[in-house]
Amino acid sequence: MRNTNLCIDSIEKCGILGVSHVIAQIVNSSVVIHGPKGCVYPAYEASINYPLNINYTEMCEKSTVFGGEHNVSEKIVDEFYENSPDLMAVITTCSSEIIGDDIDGLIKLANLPIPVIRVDGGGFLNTQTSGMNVAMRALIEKLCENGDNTYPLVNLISPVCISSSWQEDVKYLSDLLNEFGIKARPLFCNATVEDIRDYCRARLNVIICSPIGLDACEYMSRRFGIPYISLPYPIGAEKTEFFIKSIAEALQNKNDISPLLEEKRTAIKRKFNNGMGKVNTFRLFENIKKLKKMIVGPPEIALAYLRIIVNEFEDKIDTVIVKSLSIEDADEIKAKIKEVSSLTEVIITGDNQIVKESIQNLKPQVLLGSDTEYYFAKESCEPAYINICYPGAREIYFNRHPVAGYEGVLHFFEQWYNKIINRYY
Amino acid sequence: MSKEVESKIAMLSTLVKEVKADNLNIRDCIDMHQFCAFWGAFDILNYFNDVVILVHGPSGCLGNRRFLPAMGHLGECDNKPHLSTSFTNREVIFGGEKKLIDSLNEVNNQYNPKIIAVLTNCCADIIGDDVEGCIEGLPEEIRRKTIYLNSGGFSGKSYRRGTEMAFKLLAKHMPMDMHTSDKSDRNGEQKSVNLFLRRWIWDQTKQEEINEIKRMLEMIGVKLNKIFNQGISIEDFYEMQNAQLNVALCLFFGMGLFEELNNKFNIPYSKVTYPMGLFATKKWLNEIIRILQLDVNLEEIEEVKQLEEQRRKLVNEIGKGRKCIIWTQTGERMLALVKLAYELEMDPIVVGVEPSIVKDKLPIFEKEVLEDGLDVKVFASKYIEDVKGLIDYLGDPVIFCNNNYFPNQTVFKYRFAHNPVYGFNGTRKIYQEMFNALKRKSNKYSLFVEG
Repeated sequence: MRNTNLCIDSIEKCGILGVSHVIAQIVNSSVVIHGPKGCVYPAYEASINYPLNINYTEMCEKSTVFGGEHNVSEKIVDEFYENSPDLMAVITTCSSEIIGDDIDGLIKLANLPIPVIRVDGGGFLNTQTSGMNVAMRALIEKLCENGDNTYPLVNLISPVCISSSWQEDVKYLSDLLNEFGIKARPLFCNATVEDIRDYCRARLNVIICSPIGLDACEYMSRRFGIPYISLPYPIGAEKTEFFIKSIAEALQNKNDISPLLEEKRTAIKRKFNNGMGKVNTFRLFENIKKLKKMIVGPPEIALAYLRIIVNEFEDKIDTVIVKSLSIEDADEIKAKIKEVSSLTEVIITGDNQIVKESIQNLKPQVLLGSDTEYYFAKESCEPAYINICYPGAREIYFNRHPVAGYEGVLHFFEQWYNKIINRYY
Repeated sequence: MSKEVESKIAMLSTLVKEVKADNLNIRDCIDMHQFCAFWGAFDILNYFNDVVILVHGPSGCLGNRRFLPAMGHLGECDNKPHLSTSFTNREVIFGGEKKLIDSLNEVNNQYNPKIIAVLTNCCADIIGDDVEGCIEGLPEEIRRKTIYLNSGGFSGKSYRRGTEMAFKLLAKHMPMDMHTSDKSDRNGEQKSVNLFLRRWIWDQTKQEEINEIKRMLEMIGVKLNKIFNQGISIEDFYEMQNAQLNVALCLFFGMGLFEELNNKFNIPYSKVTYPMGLFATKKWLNEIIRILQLDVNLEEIEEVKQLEEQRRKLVNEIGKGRKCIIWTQTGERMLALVKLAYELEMDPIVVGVEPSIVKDKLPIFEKEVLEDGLDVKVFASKYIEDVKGLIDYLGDPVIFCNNNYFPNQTVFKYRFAHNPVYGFNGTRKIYQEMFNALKRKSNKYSLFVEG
């Protein structure tokens, strides 16, 4: 086994991608990449699925040696007049971080009538995930002023781009909480600048896919006194119930929500059974159980899908590959997985080649992961493939459905069952 | 309107001359096919199945390189190791030389490749890690198989420069003793060429193009020596020195290698590129015939005669002198489409020309436009509304484009990445597609027609 502390085929992409993904969730926003041309690619990748104006400072040897501040000033103004954005983020890259151009000073000097923020994107400072965190925090730092931690609203921190259905998930969860008398809103999901200014008026922040949003929550806790909780991604009825209960508890909600929770749970089960018709015996559940199955994903996502499949679909997962760069959390992650399914083999790695080798050696018949893992698998087998995390652009969906919450149980079950039987039976 | 349209029209040769003379204040464009030098160098070294690339710097650049899944790419992705020394703050401050040395040992132990190629990205270059020194200090076994390139994108060098740098590096390490035959005269032995494919081509389309090129070469009595193709081995690469000529389907991409092979082994290369359409294919083959001094007359080949007949029919169908708009990426494909338009006796105008790409690909434009005299009108705008204004002004032009914004117009939309375009077979397919396009206006209800 290669020593991945020395050289790694990293599962993480560049910080610029994470930052750009967050900025792209703001209506009519622009990014100016302060760096060379190659560093524009992650911003372009973010703009494939979400509207985002892109500009860059054409950094070259001369600007690296003598400073590129003039170019930054010029491009900020260019971008403002070219696309009239409502918000602009100047994203630094490795080169501009090292030479230390004074971006904040230049932003101030430009004195544009829109918010312009500086966010560190450089790959030696940030990964895709930490890039998301710094962008969320930077937006709140810049735009939020008058906090109110008594305002009766719950902020759900969006797991931006973690999966193809993340937007549907957070919108659905907000609506679901409203049904329980808890007013909630998703953050960083098709937001306007004014929406973001209001983020500091809330009683509680909820992280649903840790660590996405952790920095922003800690910042809001310190500056505005808004507490936060971190909950498991609410995939499956059990964790959805836990999600609602935990938030109600954190808000010290005195209403009895148990009857509604039971009603929701019963309704989903009824819908499931009615949807089965009277041919349950002929369904292929037992056959599916015999197939070799694998989940590959970041910790929260892998665990969430393992729980629903094992606890609610009464099926098994042979292997879980957790994509994580954090060595410190490895034991904890493993213990959580074993608690759900003691016989499941657990591989924790931050290296794509280890993911590839594991998939190609184990040859799963059912694979839950991203398109990257699917392409790894395709070299040696052709599994039934269900996309659960980024990137997931291979299949086209115009009408996406949530996989989180009660509704998500059935949507995911449909995908699960149909994809597997169409592949094998 | 006519004055406004006319004021935006100039000749391509004027633009190329101005770019060459550096008279224009050109800002770079965001063309996602043209990244930085690091990407160019990586792409070339990554063609080889027995070269392992180790990037000295942060891993972000490599994560970005696996971009095809994010674009919903059809069938496959580059699954080869994308290894880096994964710089963090620590290496940027204290240097990453020790990590590089340890990593090189690790890569050699794990993969034992024929070649280990070290590419630096911005960080390692700016902090000034002594990559050469690190390699010098390695044990002999690893040192002699390790090559390196300072390829940080901060240098401002383009993707193309990166490919040239990589080719130069590879050619430098190409041993002379792989030269197994005498190129100058082999008494009747069949002459051979190396083929360089185009860049954005995959799957079945690529195989069909290779088959077609092989068939055409056989037609003139030439065999294919080696193809510079994904998955090539270092041995095959070394054996490229045994060909009498190098030919490319996209000279812009292959020229760096050809120049090196020419300098080092005196192998000439054909500067005629993009055999798309009957005339261009004949020109491409005739140049090979000329350089290799073959006794072949293409005009006597039955297939050529048939295609010429088809061409005449198509010209009649289109109408001689009919206006045509060409809207595609600036570069060889654009020039090839201009030639195709002339072959079909149309009067083309190119829209959306990017001066910065003309600057980056200047050798191609110099050769085709300034030396060979290919010229065409260019319309100085890339905005859809302006192009629509141009269409109204021109009447009923044929529009060559990748994305169709033009309902109720005659649109020739032929996806080059997914259709074989080269050679006589490619010509036949293009002609047929053009016949089809002429028979129908683009349907405004089609989901693939915007607006």
